[in-house]
This record gives sequence, C-alpha cells and structure tokens, in this order.
Amino acid sequence: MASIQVDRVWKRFVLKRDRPDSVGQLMVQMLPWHTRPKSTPFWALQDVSFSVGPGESIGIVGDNGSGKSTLLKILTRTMLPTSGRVAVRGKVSSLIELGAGFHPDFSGRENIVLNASILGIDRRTILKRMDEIIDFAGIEAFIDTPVKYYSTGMNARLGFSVAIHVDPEIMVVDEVLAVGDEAFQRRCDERITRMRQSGISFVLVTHGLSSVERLTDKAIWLSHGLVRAAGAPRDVVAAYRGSVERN
Amino acid sequence: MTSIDARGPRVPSARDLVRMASRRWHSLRIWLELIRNLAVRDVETRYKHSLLGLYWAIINPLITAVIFSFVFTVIFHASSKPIPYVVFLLTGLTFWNLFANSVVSATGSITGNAALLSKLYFPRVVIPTASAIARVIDFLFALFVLAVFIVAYHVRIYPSLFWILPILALQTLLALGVGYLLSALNVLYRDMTQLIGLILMIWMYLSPVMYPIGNVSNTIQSILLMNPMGALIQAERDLLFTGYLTQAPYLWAAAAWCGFIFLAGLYTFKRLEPTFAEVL
Repeated sequence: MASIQVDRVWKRFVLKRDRPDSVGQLMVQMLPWHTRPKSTPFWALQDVSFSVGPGESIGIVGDNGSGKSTLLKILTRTMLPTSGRVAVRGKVSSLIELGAGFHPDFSGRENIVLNASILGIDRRTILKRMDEIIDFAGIEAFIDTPVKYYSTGMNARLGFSVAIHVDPEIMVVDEVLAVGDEAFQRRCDERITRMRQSGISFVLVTHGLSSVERLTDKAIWLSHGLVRAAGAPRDVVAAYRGSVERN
Repeated sequence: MTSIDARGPRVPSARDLVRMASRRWHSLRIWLELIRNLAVRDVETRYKHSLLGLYWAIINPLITAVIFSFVFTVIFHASSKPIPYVVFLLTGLTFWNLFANSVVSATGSITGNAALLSKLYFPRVVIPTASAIARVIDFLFALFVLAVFIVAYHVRIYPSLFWILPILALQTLLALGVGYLLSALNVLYRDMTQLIGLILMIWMYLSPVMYPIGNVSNTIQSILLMNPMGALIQAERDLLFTGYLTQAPYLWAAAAWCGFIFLAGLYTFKRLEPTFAEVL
C-alpha cells in the first residue's frame, strides 16, 4: 500500500543575483577586481512534516508563494530537499503544471504515449487504454491536433486523463483542475472519490477550499514555508479563511 | 520504496537488492522506451512538418562537398589520391557531421525540453541521449548520398567496411559523453550553444576531415591522431577505401578516450542534475 512520509523538510533557494548564466559572465567574475553582490538565502519550506497513510488524502492550502508547489516538486522528486527526509512508497502519478510532460509540437495522441512513458507505463499498455483516455478527456475532435493549439482547459483535461490511467498508487495534483469547466470538474471529483475508495492516496493542492473539504481526509496550511495549521480539513480551511478575511 | 533526502536517493540494504534488480530492469526498459519515443518524435517533427528537414540531411552535405572540392581542387590543388577529392571529403563530412550534429542536438536538449522535466522524476540523461541518437537518421540519409557518389566515381570499396560499425559505436559514445557534459552546462550557462559551434569548428579542422593525413609531417600526424575524432575518422575512411587500418595503434587511444569522455560526461551530468529544476 502506498504512503508518504515527510520528515522535517527544509528547502532553501539561494537568490543569487550574481549567478553567472553565461560563460561570458563567468569570465567577467574571474577578474580580480570584480566584487560579488551578496546572495540572499530564501527558505521556501521550513521544517515541514506530515504523513499520508495508505488510501488517505491530504489537501494543502496557502497563499501564492507559500511553498506549496515546491513541496509538490519534492514529492515528485523533480527537486531535492535541502535537509530533511521524504519517503514515498508506491507509484506516483502527477498533474502539476499545465503542459508539464507535453511536447507542444506533438498531437494529443502522441503526447499521451510520451506522457505515459514518463509516468512509467509502456507503449503497449497505453495503446490499449488510448480510447478510454481520450474518452475521459472528452477531446476526440482534437486528439490529432498539436497540443500547442489546445486551450488551457483541453490541456488540463488531457493531462488529468493520462495521469489517472497509468495505475497510480499516489496522485499528486496541483491547482490545474480549476481551469476545467463545471462538467469536467464534476467528472474529476467523481473519479477522485472513486479512486480514493479503491485505496489510492491523493495530495491535492488547491485554492478551491470547498474541494479540500469535500475530497480530503486531512489538510495542512502553509504560510511562508511554515506549517501554520494541520488537522481536519474543515478546521484548517476555516483557519485559513479567517486569516484571509482578516487581511 | 523511494527515499529522498538532502544527499539524494539512499543506498539500499543488501536484502532489497534482488527485488531492486528486477525493478531496476523494469524501469530500465521503461527508460529505454522513453529514449526511443523521444528520438522517434524528434525525427518525426523534423521531417514531417517540413521538407526542409530533408534539406539539412541531404542537400547540406552535398553543397558543402561541392563547394569545398571546388575550392580545394580547383583553387588549392589538394589531392587525396587514389580517391577523388569529392568522395574523400564527403566521406569525412558524413562521419564528422554525425558526431557534430549529435553534440549540437544534445547540448540544447535539456533547455529545449524544460516542459518534460517538471512532470515527474525520470533520469534526465534520457533526454540528451534521445536527441543525439535521433541524428542517426540524418546520418543514414547522408550515407545514401555518399553511396551515390562512390558509385558515380567508380571508387573501389572493401568488405572491411563492416568494421565501421564498432567504430561508429565508439564515435557515438564520444558524442554522448560530450553531449551530456554540454547539455548540463548549457542549463547553467546558456551561451554554451554558441560556444559549441566554435569548438566544433576548431575540432573539425584539427581532424583529418578535409585533408588526407598522409600529407603532413609525422609529428603533426601523431598529434592529429591523438585527437579521438581524428583517429576515428581516419579509421572509418581506411576501412572503406584502403581495406585495412593504417593507423591502428591510435585507435586504441581513441577507444580509451571515448570511454573516458563518456563516463566523465555522464558523471558531470549526474552531479549537475539536481540543480536543473532550480535553474530552469
């Protein structure tokens, strides 16, 4: 069974104003009279801990820039924490940024195969599920059009549809679902509920506070990289709402 | 179980090794397939969407060979006896271009595929590998042009040409090594793509692509052949037109270079890999 354990994770970004981003700048910096401006460390996550048991789902709320996306990147292993430990047990599937894993020049169909192989599913298996994926996304008419011509909503639909069809044990979903229309969001809600019942864990980042209450077992509220509140979704959401209203 | 901490994935205990091995094999298969998928897409976008793709693969080496042979035979009176200079040059260019184009493609591959990186972790090395491998298709087109020239000029070729395959394998190893190194550096220093054009130009003139190695003094000859690409191109041409290796000892050095540069490139890439997500 799948589980996630995040243990005292810190993530530091160094805002190096002087990081040379070309060989030319690198050479300029080697000049003896070149003085370096100070770089300021920035803690995107500070001592964040939580755990998600098998079949459990967690919602993460917080303002923009509070560290939610950084946390998700660490969970999907695209980023390493500065200190602390993350243990992810089980096969992860993710829907993080719009268009992540899509190649703009390839058609929807080609991108399904490409995306699935990034998510660890081989070609034969995914071809068998092709119709199902296209069907759930509801974009049959455009499936052979290059993805760069897709609308934001179509992009999210396709991304979500692939992500749920690769036999995940853990689903990591960022805000992206909010761009789908009412009907699609309802379909996603329904599917998420069904997947949760079959024991799949969810990590859900969203500004749609009602969906946190509806779809998760517990929640944490991140603020400036710190966990401000953790516990039952309703309480966490209420606390977060309260702080937003106070400002 | 995947364990992530500040030092990266952990070393597993001996007990898990058997299970790890079978999972490793499974994921290796998946990554190989990802390489294939990316390479196929790379080639497809190049040729499906534009006839210009064909231009790069066929017309480019053709025009270069014609111009160079005009300059070198008519103006400079270069000779590459017993092989006609056009064929001699086109052979060198065909093999050199495979190397150079692979390196150039690999260099820009990570920065050009940023969207693929943010989805989920997979060994990033897959991306430059696929870009470099995709250039083999261009090479096949160029090889076809070369074959036409060989036939048209009635140049004698030898059955030893099949030994070119292991030489090509070495050349690919070298291209991958250089490609890994530069693609990782290109994430940090974006002008690497500019620099690589310059480096490749110098490298080409220091390899016997446009001139026969026999025309220069022994000292310079041995310097040129210590360059792995020099020895490889010499070997490829020898196997095609001479029937045996004229510079065999240098080939061993080249093989060692290829292995070393491949491993060094891979190692640097792996070291820089964790910074990609933060810089891109």
